Amino acid sequence: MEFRCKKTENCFAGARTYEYELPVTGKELTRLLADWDIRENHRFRRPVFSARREGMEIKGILAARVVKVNFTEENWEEEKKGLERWLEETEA
Amino acid sequence: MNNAATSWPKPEEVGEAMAKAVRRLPGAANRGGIEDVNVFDEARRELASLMGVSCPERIALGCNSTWGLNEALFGWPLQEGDTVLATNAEHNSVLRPLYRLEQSGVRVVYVPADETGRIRPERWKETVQKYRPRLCVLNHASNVTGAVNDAEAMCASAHAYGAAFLLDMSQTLGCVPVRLEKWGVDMAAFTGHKYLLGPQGTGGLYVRQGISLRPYMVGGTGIKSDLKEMPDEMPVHLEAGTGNEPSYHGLLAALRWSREHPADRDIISARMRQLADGLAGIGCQVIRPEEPCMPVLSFVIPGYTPEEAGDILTDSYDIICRTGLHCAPGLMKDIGMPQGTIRLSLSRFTSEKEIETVLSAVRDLAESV
Repeated sequence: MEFRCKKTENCFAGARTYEYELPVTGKELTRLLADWDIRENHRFRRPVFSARREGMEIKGILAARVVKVNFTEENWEEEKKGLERWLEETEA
Repeated sequence: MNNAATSWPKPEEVGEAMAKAVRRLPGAANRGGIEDVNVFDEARRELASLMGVSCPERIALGCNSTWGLNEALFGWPLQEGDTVLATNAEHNSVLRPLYRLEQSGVRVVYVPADETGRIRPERWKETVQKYRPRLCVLNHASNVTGAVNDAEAMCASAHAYGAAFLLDMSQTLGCVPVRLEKWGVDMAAFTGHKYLLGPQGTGGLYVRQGISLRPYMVGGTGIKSDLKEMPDEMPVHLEAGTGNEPSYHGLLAALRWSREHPADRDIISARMRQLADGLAGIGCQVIRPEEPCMPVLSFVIPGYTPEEAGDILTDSYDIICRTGLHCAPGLMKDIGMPQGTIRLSLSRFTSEKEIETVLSAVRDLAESV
């Protein structure tokens, strides 16, 4: 799938946070993230999700096409490349 | 709810003044005659009145507080072995210039804050007495907790032990009464885009009469072009290059509007009480400094990291807030929140209903842990 990526402002120590605009919603993305620990919360005004694996986290609004990704401080470049490779190779 | 970063909304007049300014012929700052309106001088006059300064030309105008603080910290004649005294409540706009000064052999000593982010005058005085700095820097109010410091007392302590005093008014000017000449302040930096209700790209530095800084930024001034150095007279001594005229038209409009429509401090205090009481009632850990205090509040919601909670408040509820270390990394341990906080900052325009909306959203989060 095609995506757009942008580094986001984040004031936390060691933060490596990027936003991705995808052709799928957060809900559709969670169905593709087979081996991730996925949680949904439907109690908020716009229901949210988070997907975690090995210190990485993808999160956002279930109905939105922009998600936020937190990479780990130690290995963020490799993780970012890996995620983007996976997105490119995955059919929307 | 992010007015401590950039205030919003602005008075209508601000945008109108800026739009007019970009459509008409540019002015001639430092180059015009008596018939030209010099927006920089008009803004200087309004600012001088607000700051309690009798000579507007002692206020150099630039692009923000960071500019003013850099001009002050790098322009003050510090030498290897000198000491600068600052506090744990300083913003990176002070800290990063200080880290650079440390690389050139200047010693920096930091006064800790109390658990509400306030610098206690007696602790400040003891530290000044012990280290005998050449320059003291104080954040007038914490941008994390809103605690306003006693600038007058701390300026007096600095002077009593031979130090100059630089005040960072980024958070306070436009919200807290300031009397720079009465307090004896040597230098003071300010920005236009927070509680002055002006646009981004405005701000500057007041320099007391009798002080001459070595300009950090040099360049064209439109006058005395034959000189190899910046002209001696203020404000042009510190004002290199063409100024941000449209934004200063916006700031001038904001200053005039605020003079005609003074903020109602009682209403702002009532909103702050409503917010702080409400958050505490939900079970949040809230930092509540005693008055005087800016309309800024830091808190955490049990069961959530500040980042997680801030994302949900913004993405799920459209509540614009700031989370993290707030560019004030030195303060987090002092206030007992090393992982950072969620910060809400109100303005004179924040309504009771908006506070209720925030409390309702935070309640949703707290009940969903």
